Amino acid sequence: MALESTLNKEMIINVGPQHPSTHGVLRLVMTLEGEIIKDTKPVIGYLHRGLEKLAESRNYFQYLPMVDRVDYLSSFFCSAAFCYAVESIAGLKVPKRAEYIRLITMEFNRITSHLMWLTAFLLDLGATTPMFYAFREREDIVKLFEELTGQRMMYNFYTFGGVKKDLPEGWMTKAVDLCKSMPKMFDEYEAIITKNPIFMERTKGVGVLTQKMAADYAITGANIRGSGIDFDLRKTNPYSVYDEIDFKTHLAENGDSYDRYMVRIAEMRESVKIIEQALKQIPGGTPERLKVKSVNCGCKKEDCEFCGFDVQLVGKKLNAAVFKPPVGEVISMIEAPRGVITCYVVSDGTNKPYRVKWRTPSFSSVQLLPELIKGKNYSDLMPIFGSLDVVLPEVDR
Amino acid sequence: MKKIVNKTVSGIIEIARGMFTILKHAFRPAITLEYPEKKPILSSRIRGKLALTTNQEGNLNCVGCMSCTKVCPCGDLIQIESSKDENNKPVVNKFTIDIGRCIFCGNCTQACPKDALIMTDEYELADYSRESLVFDKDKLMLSPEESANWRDKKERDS
Repeated sequence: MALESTLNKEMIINVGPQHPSTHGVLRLVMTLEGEIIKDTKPVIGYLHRGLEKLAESRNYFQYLPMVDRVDYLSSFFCSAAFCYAVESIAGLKVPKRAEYIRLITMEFNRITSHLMWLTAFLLDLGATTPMFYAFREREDIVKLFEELTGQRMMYNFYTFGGVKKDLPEGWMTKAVDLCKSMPKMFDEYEAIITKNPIFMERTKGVGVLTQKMAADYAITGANIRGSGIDFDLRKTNPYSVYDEIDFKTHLAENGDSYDRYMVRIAEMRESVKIIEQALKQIPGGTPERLKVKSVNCGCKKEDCEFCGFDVQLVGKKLNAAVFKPPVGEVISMIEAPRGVITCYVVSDGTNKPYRVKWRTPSFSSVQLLPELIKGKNYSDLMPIFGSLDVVLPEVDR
Repeated sequence: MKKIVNKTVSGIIEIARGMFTILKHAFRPAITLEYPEKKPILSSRIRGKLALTTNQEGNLNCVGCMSCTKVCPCGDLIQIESSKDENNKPVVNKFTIDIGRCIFCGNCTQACPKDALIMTDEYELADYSRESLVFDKDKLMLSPEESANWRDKKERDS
């Protein structure tokens, strides 16, 4: 009697805050009936660091390293969003070479972020082997970042009006070699994962995100492309130099977990192609060649191929203490690995921003979770939550 | 019935393909590094522990201009006290950095006009107490030889 009455009752379970398969700290208050999930309430805020408030007490250059911490897996994108916003308030022009260096680093960063997602997603599903393979490639890219910026995760490499340093000698050769070897590595993951019957059974038809639901919840990035909506800021609203580069966006039809996986794998392959093109098209070519040519030329004209504006790194050198953008407000949008990052900056004419607001894509994805897992088995939680690619520091800021 | 057989056969083939891919890795060389015994080769741009350079006589290059404190995101992390000697030259009396709170962003080294504050490639900074991570002038100062080495390295990089 006692056993039956407890079995038929609804049960409240706390998943997290420190759950092994939530990367970050998220608490889910779940109402279960047996194995079926009736209701879910995500409780966020465990990683809140007040990044928006911190901006108001620091000048623009002091705030720049903190921007990397908005999303630690794709630091370059947050930096880029903030830099583009401040540049358009202050009216700074960015040289082409700096834009190309930004593009190359951002696309490499997209690959590392997606690889990190792949490992976490498959670990949630119980597959350990792909983690070691994905970390092997991630290590190669992170080493390139270390050589370029001096740090493996928090790069602090972009500055207002360009980038801080030029590519080191031999960096471009290493990057080209890596681009050549990387598609073979993606083939390896696909051989292990894509057609694996256990993986397909757990992800196909699970967590279907319809087009209407995706639009209602303002989902962006690979999640919405998995549902078949062609929305990619790199195509529709090209920032940086994406309009000079030939690439295509990848779509899937069904919008389930498996499709989101397929879109991300295809995006990584496309990123490699973008980097290869950018390395060929970069103004000035390799740093060694550029150095020799600019010394030999020395004409100092604006439109010169070797010593003009476009091959510089920073358009205009700024003094950190007296940098005061004029009064104004601006929004900049960047297509980050998880979706559209929006940075809203209000300047009141002093050396500190009046207000900085971040709109991050993971925040929308967390809101979507209760809808997607309603009425599903508890074992479907991880295939759905993992496939949304939520990074918790980005949710809480 | 036919569908189930097809599914089983294709499943077995796909798992075999995955297993074969994994097996190939057994014959590749190891890519890991046994860290405490072997150390990785770091690039010249690595952002490690902060240090103060000295000139050939062993005096600090720092002139106490406070540029580094103005760009430091951590507020009062760098503390400098300086005065002027009888020849009206600046002398830095106190230079304290709380390395435990430093986020190694490199803003201060870029703002430094005299290359007096630099970042070395030292990264093993763990310690037992927070007090021991507050580095004063003597702890941060490099010897004249080390400063010269660093200057050579920087010239090669740029």
